[in-house]
Amino acid sequence: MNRREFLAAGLGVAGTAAAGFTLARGVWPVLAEEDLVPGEAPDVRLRPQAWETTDERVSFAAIGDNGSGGRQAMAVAERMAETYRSRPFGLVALLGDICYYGNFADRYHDVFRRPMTPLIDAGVQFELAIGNHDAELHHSDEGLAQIEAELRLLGTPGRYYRTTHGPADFFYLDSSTPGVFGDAASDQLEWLDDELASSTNQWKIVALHHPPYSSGHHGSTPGFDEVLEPILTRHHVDLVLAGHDHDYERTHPIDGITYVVSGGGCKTTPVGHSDFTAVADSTLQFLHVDIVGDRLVGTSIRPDGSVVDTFTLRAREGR
Amino acid sequence: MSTEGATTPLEAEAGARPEAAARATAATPCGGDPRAGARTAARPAAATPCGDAGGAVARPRRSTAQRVVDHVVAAVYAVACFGAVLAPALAVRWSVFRSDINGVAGRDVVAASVVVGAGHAAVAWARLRCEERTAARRSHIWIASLNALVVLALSASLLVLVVLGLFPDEHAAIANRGLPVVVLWAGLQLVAVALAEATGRLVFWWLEPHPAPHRACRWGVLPSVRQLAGGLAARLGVRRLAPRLGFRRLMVWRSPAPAPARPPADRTRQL
Repeated sequence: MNRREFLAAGLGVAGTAAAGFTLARGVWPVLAEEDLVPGEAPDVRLRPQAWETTDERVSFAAIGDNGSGGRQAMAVAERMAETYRSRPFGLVALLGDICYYGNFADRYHDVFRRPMTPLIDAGVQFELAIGNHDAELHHSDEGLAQIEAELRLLGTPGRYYRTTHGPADFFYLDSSTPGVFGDAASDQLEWLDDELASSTNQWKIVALHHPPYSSGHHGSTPGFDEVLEPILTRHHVDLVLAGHDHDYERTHPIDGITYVVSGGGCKTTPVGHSDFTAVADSTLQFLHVDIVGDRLVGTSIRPDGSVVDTFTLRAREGR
Repeated sequence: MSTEGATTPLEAEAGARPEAAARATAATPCGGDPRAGARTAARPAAATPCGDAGGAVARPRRSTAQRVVDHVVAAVYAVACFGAVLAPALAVRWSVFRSDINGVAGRDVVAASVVVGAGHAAVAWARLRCEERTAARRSHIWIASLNALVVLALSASLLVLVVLGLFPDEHAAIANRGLPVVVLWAGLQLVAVALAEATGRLVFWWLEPHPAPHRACRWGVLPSVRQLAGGLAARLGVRRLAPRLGFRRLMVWRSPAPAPARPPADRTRQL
């Protein structure tokens, strides 16, 4: 073997090893997990204001991690629009990560406006709990600017806020590291404590991006059990909605609180089972919730319309 | 040099008279049956790209088993090329399949990859069969093919990932204008195929022995980097380095005219 043959053969063998490792461990899994291929926006026309919200009744949808603008995001958005036809809802709780692969201000039309056009045109309201992909984890100036752009574009009042729809109070939190553990975290936690204490509605629902309980890829968020959970338990929160892990999970009630992960807005990651897990499935989905009086019925729906999970909660006594 | 009464290897003849070798091999262009041409026991002195009549293609007769092995290996290589092109589409399709999306989502990119991959498999198979007829050594074919396959596998998947992952606004804009994404997908894969083919042919050409510069100076036979550096050093006046960098060979390469034949030796004086 001469020098050229040795060099070319060595490059070939080394290249084969490097390529095999890179493709098998990095490239193909990313292609299989991400939602990179652009999708076509749902072409659905919906009857505006078709929902009914009263003091006794409200319907809403919850979806997280849907910010790709790809085919899978479009498929979930189309199913949401189809579900609106039969079971109209006037609110969508966005559980964070509404923009991947770029800046939200630049990608607003691709990741939000186009997939949600039928619902936006029908007058559905959107409320956002910001996620880690919506801004940088540690809130640099650039990250804060992006958060502000998102809040402005979506008409959301702030990083954490409270809204009321029918018999339910919604508490949206900034669950990023500085939001919960940083220097200014006490502001948000004290605000949450006060707002939950003053809430007299029948249902208390907390929405945030990072899940307090999860058996998914990221798992339960460390530290929430010491910082956040005591407040939720003390004020008898009924339901906690989260995203971050790209799957659907529901826990058994923990101190009376049901924790749901609804993060299958555009991509999926594997999910396991833990002691607290009631249902777990790695699938694209969104959550539809009907509240009528003292009963809350949640349904997790796949893009093909099949149901992942249905659960019913009863309002706490005395409310 | 006298050849009367002796079996002269073709490479010796080609070395002595390149124009004669070219004439001899022109009758058996690559793609035809090499056994139809003149055959000797010698390995060819040089192989040229397929279709180039200037290459010496004589090689020993292969056994039936060897020919079967060549066919099988070429077919396996073509299948590997097909798989490398198809793999990223299958990965995307797998995510769609796992996500329970009904309909045709993901099938269009698979179909595009099947078309591109099948086309490339045919080209790769033909290239391999052609190189088997002309290669000085079999190992050159496999080394070049391995390099081409690595480039194909990497570029077919990485190009898609990079373009779709790093330029989402651009391809979303393409999709918004109604241009099917499958066109972008197929285009990326064609680029990957072109890169792989170029790599395979370049490496094969690089590995094959080329005619010495003073014997053949046709288009396609370029001086080595060392020779070019020597020429540059000579032009810059670094005369000490020039000979070490092959300047003298470069000078020979630049003047391909054969040296005048020596006058026949005076036999009477020797006697």
